[in-house]
Amino acid sequence: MSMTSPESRSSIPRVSLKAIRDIENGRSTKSAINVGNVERWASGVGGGLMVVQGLRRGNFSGLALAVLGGALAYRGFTGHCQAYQALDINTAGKRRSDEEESIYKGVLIKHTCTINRTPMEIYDYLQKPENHQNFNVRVESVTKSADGKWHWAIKGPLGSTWRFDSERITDEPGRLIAWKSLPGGDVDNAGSIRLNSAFEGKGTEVTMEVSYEPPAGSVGVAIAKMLGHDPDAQIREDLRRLKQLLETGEVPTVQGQTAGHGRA
Amino acid sequence: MKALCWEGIGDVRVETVPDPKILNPRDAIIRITATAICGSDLHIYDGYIPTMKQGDILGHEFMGEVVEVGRGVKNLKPGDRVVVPFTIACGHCSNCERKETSLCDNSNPNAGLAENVYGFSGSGLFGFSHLFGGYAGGQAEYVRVPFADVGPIKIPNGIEDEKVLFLSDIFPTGYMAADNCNIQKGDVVAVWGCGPVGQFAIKSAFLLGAERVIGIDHHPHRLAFARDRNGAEIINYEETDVIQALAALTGGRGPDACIDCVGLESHGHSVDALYDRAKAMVGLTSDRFHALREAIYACRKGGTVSIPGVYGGLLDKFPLGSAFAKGLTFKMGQTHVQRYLQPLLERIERDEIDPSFVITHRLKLDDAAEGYKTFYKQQDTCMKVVLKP
Ligand SMILES: NC(=O)c1ccc[n+]([C@@H]2O[C@H](COP(=O)([O-])OP(=O)(O)OC[C@H]3O[C@@H](n4cnc5c(N)ncnc54)[C@H](O)[C@@H]3O)[C@@H](O)[C@H]2O)c1
Ligand SMILES: [Zn+2]
Ligand SMILES: [Zn+2]
Repeated sequence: MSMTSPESRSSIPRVSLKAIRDIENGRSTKSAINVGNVERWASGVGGGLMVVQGLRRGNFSGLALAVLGGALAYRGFTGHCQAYQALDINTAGKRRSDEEESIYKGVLIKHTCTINRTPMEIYDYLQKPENHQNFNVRVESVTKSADGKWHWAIKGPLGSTWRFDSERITDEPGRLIAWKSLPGGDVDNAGSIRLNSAFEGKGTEVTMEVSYEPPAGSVGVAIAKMLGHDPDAQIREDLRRLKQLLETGEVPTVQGQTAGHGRA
Repeated sequence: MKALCWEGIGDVRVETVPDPKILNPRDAIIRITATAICGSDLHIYDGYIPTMKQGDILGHEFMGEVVEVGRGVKNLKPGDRVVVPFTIACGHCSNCERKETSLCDNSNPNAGLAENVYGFSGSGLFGFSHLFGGYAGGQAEYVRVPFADVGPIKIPNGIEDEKVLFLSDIFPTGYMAADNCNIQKGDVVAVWGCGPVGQFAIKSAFLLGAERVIGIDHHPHRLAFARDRNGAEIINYEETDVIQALAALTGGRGPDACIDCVGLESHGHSVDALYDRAKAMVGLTSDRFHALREAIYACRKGGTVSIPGVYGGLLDKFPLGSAFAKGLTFKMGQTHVQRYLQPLLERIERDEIDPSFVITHRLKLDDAAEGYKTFYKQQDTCMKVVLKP
């Protein structure tokens, strides 16, 4: 199963080496983030590696703590959900304009896979909040209140918890769901899950798009990644677990299995 | 319990480790009654398979008695005798529904890793590195079997272990290799490698209607075995030019199908194996594939090249031009063991084949490390090692 479309590969955010140096040299964090945003879509894998090395060379953990700590305190939300604008959920096939692209400041991740169940079976599964905890391992808790709002607590880097509420902005049974976070949360995000039945008997093509603006913008993303939070891989694995649960009823694992002393 | 653990290249040891436990609803725990060492284990022993970790329990050919089942397993109960396929498969993804179980979407917990290396992930495998899931293997007293409700085949009492043990891997592997050749009446099939997989491929090619089968190797005992026990004509590649000999044996046409039962360590365990290892940069060596190259050159126009031998990395100087010019068909991959269990068990029950013919050595599990050494160093006289806990 290949879950990564070429599109999603290029959508992994990158931060330039210069941006990192700027932070290290105490230059304005703000401008560094802007540089990061400009270069976000451009660089390839090599760029990503440079970021990693760049971060390694600096006093990394101190930097990470400083930036992230500041970010968690600062919730720069205007109530206008920019992450939502980045999602292509209004009309099928409509492309984002360059202008929209440039005002979008967060991360857009997209993965797709085919699940050997009907669109309605998948939709029904996604209607239950507790199921989200099964395939998204970062969800600490999620509930749905009578007013239709979902209340999330998500594991962030360094043992932090990100809380936010969300609402469905599109809900077409067996076809499409989309959500956006409501103002006042720790992380501004939006997402959609699109269900297209593949031809007869071949299951359902499931496309998950998630866009979010993490605290501290792209630099925050790079740092989160250094701390083992790779959002692109996480969403790829979320989608994989969704498939595994729906097809087999469990997630395959070797956690806790026996092994020789060499490992114990 | 006791289990054979991988400690490093060329270093395996029987250790006392914790007993396995049920981790998922569809798991079962099996008490092993018989297990074997495979040519694939030698690739691990030899350091050709990346992502091994110290302490990994090896072994993917095993059978035994069910001792415990998870709450999702309804078709097995403690006491049942089962043979377990080495390919772990969920039974419900589209690949499993097509009975392509070695391509199961859902059984490799490290599928992301395999996707990074290969673009896609195949099924999880027992005792075959973390790239294929890191599942503890069955060269042990007990083993945990995931998706036990769809994998293992129940064995009626009255058939001894040694007759059915190889349903776990090498019999279906040799059989699928021949099945992939679409053998027609009168066909000549050439088989590179007269190890256990090669012997089963030879036998299976005859079962599927081949007129003649030609076995190629350099170990005199293995060649004699292929000739005397399985009815093959033989070529010793150290004494004869294989491509010329095959042309001479087939009126210049070349064999209708060529089966590579050698895999990525073609030409055995010589000095250049060490050199290849040194070349390994990011974990995957360039495979050595003299046998496969020969198979491609030798095969008749329009013929089939079937590859059960394991490859993991990149090939240098792959003769695609020859393959293209001759319009060859390629078939390959890990065996879809589950697909063949029932029909092959029936062939055993009908006495069409007794797979225990390959066994040359029987050892206690305690002596497994010795078994590896013997199988590795004395390939000529040691064909198949069976271990009993
Ligand atoms: N596809 C599968 O699912 C599957 C399953 C089991 C085993 N295998 C693979 O099948 C292969 C054979 O397994 P085995 O247990 O028989 O191994 P083995 O090591 O016992 O046998 C390999 C034989 O190939 C011979 N050989 C080496 N170079 C040769 C050459 N250039 N020409 C002809 N013969 C040559 C060796 O002398 C040896 O006898 C291995 O690669 C193993 O990993 C694949
Ligand atoms: Zn094997
Ligand atoms: Zn499957």
